[in-house]
Amino acid sequence: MIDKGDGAETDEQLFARYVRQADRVAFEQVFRRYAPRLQAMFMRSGAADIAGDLVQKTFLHVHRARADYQQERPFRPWIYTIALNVRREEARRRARSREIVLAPESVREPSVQPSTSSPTDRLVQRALNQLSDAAREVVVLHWYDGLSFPEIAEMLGATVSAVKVRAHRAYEQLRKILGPEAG
Amino acid sequence: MTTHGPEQDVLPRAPDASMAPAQLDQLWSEVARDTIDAKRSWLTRARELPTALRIALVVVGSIGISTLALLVVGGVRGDMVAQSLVGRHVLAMVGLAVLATTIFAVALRGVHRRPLGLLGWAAVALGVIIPLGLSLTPWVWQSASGPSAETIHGCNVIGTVTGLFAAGFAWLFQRTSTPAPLRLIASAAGGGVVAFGMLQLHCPSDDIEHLLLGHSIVGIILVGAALVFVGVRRLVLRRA
Repeated sequence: MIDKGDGAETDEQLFARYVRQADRVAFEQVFRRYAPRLQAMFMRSGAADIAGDLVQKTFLHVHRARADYQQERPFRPWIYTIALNVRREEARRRARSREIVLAPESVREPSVQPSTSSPTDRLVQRALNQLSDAAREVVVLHWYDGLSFPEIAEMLGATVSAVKVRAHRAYEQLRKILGPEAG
Repeated sequence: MTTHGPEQDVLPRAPDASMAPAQLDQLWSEVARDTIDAKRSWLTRARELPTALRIALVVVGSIGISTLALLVVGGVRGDMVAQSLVGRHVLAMVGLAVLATTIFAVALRGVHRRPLGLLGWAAVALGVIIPLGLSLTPWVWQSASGPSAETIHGCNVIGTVTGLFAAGFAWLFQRTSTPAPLRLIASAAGGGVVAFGMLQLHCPSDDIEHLLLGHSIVGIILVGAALVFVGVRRLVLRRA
């Protein structure tokens, strides 16, 4: 939930207003809150070249699925679930059409733009790209997007302990990859 | 097990996710054009209904399509009441309705839900296997003097047309713009189950060959056609 504590509406309130009243301003506010985060998430997930397209697709699905949103449920895992599904579908589509697959080895350059990122960021991105899709997904959602393990577990359809184990192994793997270079 | 520790050593916090204002504005104008500012047709409105309602409408529509097909081909089999088969048939039809509803739910599952994976494919497989199994248990559909081999083709055609309409109707409520394989194949399997139910209500055959080749094969034909479509589409995409 994004609540800036300054009286601003929560994501849930904004999106509910959009669903009930087709309030354009409310939808735009939700978009402006989440588009940059989702774009960053897609970039870290190895889809830097199409991150903008994926954000657009995600919001198209958010719009189509708005009647399914329940206001009592947190909005953030809801929209991230859609974003992850969009990314997976795109990965499958590209794999089928033999384009560059969203796989670690196929990502040529760090997903963070060199002009705006430090050498460490680029190093970390390269390390992230070496993880499996499932491991990277958990790290990106947990570390970079700040989602809790229960939230991630709900999104992935796994138990909280399974997600914790996956995260632990992923972080260990990152430590191994980054150890010599980061040290 | 702790998961805090390693990341603090190795992972820097990401810089605040941000986009250039011009890029954000541009992206918003594109999103708004495709969503809230887009003209909504009746089809768009149908697809934007809550998922539970979409599934319910597809089930009701399938019952309507089956009823219409029954009216066109001459109604429910005449020997049902005479042989006191109503109770058994009602039970079988309720089972088939539950199966069709489950498969249509797979086809229409919202993108806000996590993917079903193998469970979805298992539901589709059941949609093909259960009618096949019911064809091998003719005592369920007991008949005194039912048609056999010579009417197989007729049942096949009627069933395929009915199944196609049911699958097509389900596809009308599909939100995805591209035919994701599981969704398309599940729609076809659901159509096959609907067609099987309609044929069992209409045709008094209890001949295994007739039931297999005239009735339950409809699901295989529809799912097969969907698989061929998916395969051809992949080939075309690869060559494009």
